[in-house]
Amino acid sequence: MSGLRLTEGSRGPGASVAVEGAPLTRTQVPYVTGSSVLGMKCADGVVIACDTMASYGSLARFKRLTRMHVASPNCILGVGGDYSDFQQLQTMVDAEMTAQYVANDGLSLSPKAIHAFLARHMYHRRCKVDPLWNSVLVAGFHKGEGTLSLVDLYGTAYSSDVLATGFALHLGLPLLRNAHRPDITVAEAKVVMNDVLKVLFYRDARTNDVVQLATVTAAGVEVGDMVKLDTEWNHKAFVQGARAGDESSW
Amino acid sequence: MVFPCLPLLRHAASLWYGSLCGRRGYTMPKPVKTGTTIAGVVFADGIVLGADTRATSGSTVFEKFCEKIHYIAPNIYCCGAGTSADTESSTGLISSQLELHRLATGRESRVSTSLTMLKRMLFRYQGHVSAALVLGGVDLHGPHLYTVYPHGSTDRLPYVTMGSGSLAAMAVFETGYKDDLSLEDAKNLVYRGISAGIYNDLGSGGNVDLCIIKRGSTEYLRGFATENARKYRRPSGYAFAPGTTAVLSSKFTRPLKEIAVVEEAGVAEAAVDGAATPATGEMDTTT
Amino acid sequence: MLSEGTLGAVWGPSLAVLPTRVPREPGCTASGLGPISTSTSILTGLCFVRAPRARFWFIVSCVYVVGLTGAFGRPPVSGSSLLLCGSGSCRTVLAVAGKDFCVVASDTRLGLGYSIPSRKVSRILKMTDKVVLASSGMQADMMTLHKTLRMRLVKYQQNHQKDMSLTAASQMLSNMLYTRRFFPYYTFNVLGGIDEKGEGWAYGYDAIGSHEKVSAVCSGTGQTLIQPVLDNQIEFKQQWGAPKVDLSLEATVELIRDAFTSAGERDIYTGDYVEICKITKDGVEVEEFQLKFD
Repeated sequence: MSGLRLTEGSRGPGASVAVEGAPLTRTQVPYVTGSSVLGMKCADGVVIACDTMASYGSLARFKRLTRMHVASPNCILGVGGDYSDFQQLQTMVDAEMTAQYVANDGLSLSPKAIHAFLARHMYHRRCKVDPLWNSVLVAGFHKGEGTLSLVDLYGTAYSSDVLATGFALHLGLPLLRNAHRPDITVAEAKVVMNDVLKVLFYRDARTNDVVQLATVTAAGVEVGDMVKLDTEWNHKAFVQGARAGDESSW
Repeated sequence: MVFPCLPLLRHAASLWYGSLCGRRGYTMPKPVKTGTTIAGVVFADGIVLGADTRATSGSTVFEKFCEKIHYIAPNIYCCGAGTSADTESSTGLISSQLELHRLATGRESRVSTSLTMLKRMLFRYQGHVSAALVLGGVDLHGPHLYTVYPHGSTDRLPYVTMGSGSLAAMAVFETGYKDDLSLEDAKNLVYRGISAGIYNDLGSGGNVDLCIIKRGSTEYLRGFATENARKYRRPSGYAFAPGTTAVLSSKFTRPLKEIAVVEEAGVAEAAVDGAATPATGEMDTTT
Repeated sequence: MLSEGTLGAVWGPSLAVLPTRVPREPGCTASGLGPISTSTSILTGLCFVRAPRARFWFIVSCVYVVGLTGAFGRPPVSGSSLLLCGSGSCRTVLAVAGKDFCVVASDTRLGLGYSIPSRKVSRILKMTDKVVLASSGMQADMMTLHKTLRMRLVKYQQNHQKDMSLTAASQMLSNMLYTRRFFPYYTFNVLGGIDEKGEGWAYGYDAIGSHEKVSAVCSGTGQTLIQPVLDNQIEFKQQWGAPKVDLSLEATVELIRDAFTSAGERDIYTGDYVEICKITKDGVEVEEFQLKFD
């Protein structure tokens, strides 16, 4: 119940005014937000992908922001949701990794451990009714095996061969499921990711066409450059206009 | 025809019913929704429409093999998502009006006519008739594919999806659509789109139905794909011995009067008589 | 209002209604203090509980996530209706006890609104070689509960140099659930295993620890479909004069497969796979059984 202290610190229009007897609420609205993240586990590694936009409501506020964070040499995070909470997560994960390094015992956190660390932290914050408004994909490669897991703002945590957050849960996951095979390679998966990101750009209004892919393989984390998507707007009906040939009276 | 005052009546009725429900602590009865995947694609010489076959009521599957591609005219069909009753009755209404129109004019119905009639009707009801439609057909102007939203707005596009599985289906269409698809490719694309809805959207499920409309021919492929039949049954089954349902008491009663056997001619007469003057005053009494 | 009896013992004679049955509906947990959750569905409902003395309010707010909207970049939800339980929910779990065995099963679909974020999320915890737990409800709470239980089980094993018994485990679970009486684990558990006498038993729980020892129990969205079948086929309810035969392990598993298949036909949240744990004196054997993916 420590999270329900009646303190000041409300921010934003979503925070309610203190009424006698009623709870104070805070940080319950995301502001600058990133949209979807995609992930696929392959035979020889893991690929995650996302676009590079951070929106402020319906404003395309920042258009060249990375939403990925290299947590360790063999683990990378892809994050959607509130951008400030993402930065908080980065600080937190880095601090934990530093603490591990300082111990100088030759041990570090495995991708699975980083996932568990994030899951516990996110769950703790949701129990304080003060969640970090994110969903995080954790991609790693450890002891010859890829791992792909997810944590969201409630502390929900699970692993799967294909994962998607945000709007890609509806638009991307069906395509990823169709494309996935146990023997799919990282190179093939990158092509799939590109196609899915294109669909997201077409249909998710909070997504832009500059994207970033990252892979984790036995060679470690490799974060790609921001790349502009090659999109298609030349279907006949698009060029002629949707109303061309329309005989209806309206 | 629909009476123009109907929307008001309907609205008043729902208000009255709503207030009644509120007072008595009842809730409005939950309508059956077709949390649906429906879709259509224009190909080189026609239209392919597709739909899943699941109807739900809340989280319960209400009907596993329902028909969501409705007949409008021989050359026009319409997929419906939303409240089942609304989609069925609005397509049925337009269909019957078009039939009369064809009988009066002796001409083939046009897709744009059905579109205009649908959107006028839905607009008049201000979104209270929750029918989200994919309307497709071929007429003298060629193939046409439209979406109609519950509030009466419409859209004309080369590939469209509707319903709760629309995003899954649209994701497939966005990656697979090309101009001037062949019939086979178009069928396959729609099948893949509907399947994406069936497997990724909980509101959609069951079979894939397709309807192919070309100039002069329509092919309705009910159960184009049937991948979701029940897989397992308990080998021993469920056998109940006679008497498993307890008989608490029993009472046998003879019919009140002897049953009269009437000759055939008499039956016809009696039926006519009965229809003219119902003896008991109940309209549904029959012989 | 079914668990009043159990709670009545805690809260005083004014509530001491005789115990009846463990509530089997998700969201149906109550005491004389006021409803914890008025919602009958995992997805909807917003309510507050006010403890009698402390000014603790808490929100169990389950905002129905409209299928077409993602969680982000949408119009803000009101501050008090913060999403807590709207995250992925796991659905149908059951436990059926036999004479000298117990079967605990759960499907593995993770449902969120109209989406399936994952087809394979396990919600079964093998507590000991003779005790297995399955939890439906909120996945994050379930995971936390399982982690904590695992820790307690290890501690018990190391302190006492033996595995926890079924009865002890059932009581410990109840106690752990009750520690969060006013901010519950949003989980609906069934526990099954073999007791010290070698008999199979099942336990059904509500979200805050009220529990009952039964021979067959089901929780989650498939509950309304499956529980009547179990009552009829395991306990021979509504079967007058039928001989009460104990089902064999194989017959029980066949019944469970059939029950899950049927629930998968009619409940949109039940599907994908079923994990069936067969607990015998020789240990736990897990079978994976496939359901439909639609």
